[in-house]
Amino acid sequence: MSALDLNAIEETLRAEIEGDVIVSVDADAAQPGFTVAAERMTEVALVLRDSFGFDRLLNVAGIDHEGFDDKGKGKHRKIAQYAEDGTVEPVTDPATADFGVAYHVQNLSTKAMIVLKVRVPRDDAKVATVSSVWPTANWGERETYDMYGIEFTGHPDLRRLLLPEDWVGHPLRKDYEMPARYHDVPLEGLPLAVREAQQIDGGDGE
Amino acid sequence: MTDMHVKYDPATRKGDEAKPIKSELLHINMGPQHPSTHGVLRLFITTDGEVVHSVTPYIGYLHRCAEKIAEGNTYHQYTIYTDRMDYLAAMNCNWGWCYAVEQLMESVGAGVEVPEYAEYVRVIIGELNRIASHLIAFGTYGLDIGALTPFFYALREREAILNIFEKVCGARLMYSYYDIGGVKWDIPPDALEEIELFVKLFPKKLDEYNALLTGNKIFVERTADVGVVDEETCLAYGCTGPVLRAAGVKWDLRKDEPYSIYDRFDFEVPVGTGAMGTVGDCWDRYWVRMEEMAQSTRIIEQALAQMPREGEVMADMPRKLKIPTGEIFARTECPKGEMGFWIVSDGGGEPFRVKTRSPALHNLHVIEKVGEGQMISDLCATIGSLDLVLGEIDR
Repeated sequence: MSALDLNAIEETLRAEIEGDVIVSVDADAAQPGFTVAAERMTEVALVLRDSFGFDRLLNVAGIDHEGFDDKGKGKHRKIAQYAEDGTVEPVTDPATADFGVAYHVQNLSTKAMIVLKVRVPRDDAKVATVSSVWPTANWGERETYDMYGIEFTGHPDLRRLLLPEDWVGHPLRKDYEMPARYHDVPLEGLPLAVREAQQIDGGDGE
Repeated sequence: MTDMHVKYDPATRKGDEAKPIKSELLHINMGPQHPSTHGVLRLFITTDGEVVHSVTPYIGYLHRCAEKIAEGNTYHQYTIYTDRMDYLAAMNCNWGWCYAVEQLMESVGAGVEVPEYAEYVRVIIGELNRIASHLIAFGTYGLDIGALTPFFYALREREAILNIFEKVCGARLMYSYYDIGGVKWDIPPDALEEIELFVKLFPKKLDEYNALLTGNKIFVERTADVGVVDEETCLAYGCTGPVLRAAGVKWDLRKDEPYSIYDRFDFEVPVGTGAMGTVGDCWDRYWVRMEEMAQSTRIIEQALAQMPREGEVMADMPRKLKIPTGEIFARTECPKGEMGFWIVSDGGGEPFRVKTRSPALHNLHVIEKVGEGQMISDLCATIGSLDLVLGEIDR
């Protein structure tokens, strides 16, 4: 992989887009890039594609930072757990950590790859879409919406991608609790006591 | 039937005045159990007669939320779930995962060096699985458009490969043979002999396939100039692998961002030339796969010649693998395209987040664009040429 001129990109981004668009420069990361403002994502993507030739969006991935262990011990708090006797262990404090979205973009001719990241608060998770810049993001953002409930503003067709349209909840959130039933079908995988205690109908979306 | 060729006006949804035909849009569900969708893919098609107006894929019938499962399993345990992604090329998926974890370990300064002998084993087995996967693509593609015979020829050779894999690791479909830091076991000597025999015989078999299907007039009529995915569309929709190369882009991770020991082998990257029609049509995608099988055979031959007689198959690995805080996005060239894993670790024994970049998902996405305006029968030909595996798309 060839060298990536982060400084040049940073200068151009600051010059071409008004306001404070770059939140931080992740130059020391194994795969360098920027953390940018979520609502300016479309403009950033446009500059990267048109001025620097980043023409291939390889990957769009969401992340829920809830429980991420800052000390690096890997003891992230697991929430929404089920005890062996089938009772739900109470969640002492609700999830508060923010969501993130990472975009891995490559320039086909120079082979340079850049990682773009955004972080959005949990209660107002909105990111500007890049599907107008890289059409493949259409499905990547739909999947992220499906799994995390992150809303992509300006997306032409923001539907669930993998789960059924009437599914309740976003499974890759760390505080996700699996519904007990889907269309009156009890869901396997949960202890029976949990299913009966929850009485959640995942089917009709009530 | 005589009215089939009346010029169609999309604005009025009618034919020309001389021969008025009444037509209206028809909504059809193709799948999820349609034989040409290679699994459980549902295409919602709007058609006018035989012409497709719009295609909307509905996926997720095989969704197992493997990414959530990853968060509750150790790095070693998750290897088994990668088998279930592209089940026709499970070795390559294993490899992609193990490579990504190794890259993550290296990026946080806890790198392991995969023994040289193990790298050769990985290349040989991985390329064999690429051939097996392309054989299925070749065989089922014939089936999709009405040629039954090639399928049996393809399965005959795939059977030989599966027999080798059975000797190597005991399994025929879900191998879990690659491990982080190497491979689980050495190749037994009799399996090695079988591989040598296979690469000696396989070029002749390829000639057989070509005689059967490649130049067949009916086959060419059905595939040339059909479902053209050009370079621009490929890049926009994230298509990789044979789909991208058929569009004339010489891009192969094994050549352009060599991982493992691929820089030691001499092989070509076949690209589509539009020999039978347009660059990037179904025939080109088919042809690129046929050529790749020949190139894979070359790689295996060279690997067998260069390979040390014996050696370690595993690096020294900690018994309990814990990776310091870090993240990586690492890709390998799987038969279907570039498979990538984005792994975020927070220092524990389990990954904090794993995202799989599925090549077939991106290759499928393009059908929304390419399918428009095709005949229904051409749509089947196009889907077949994309070589989809739903286990990997839905994960």
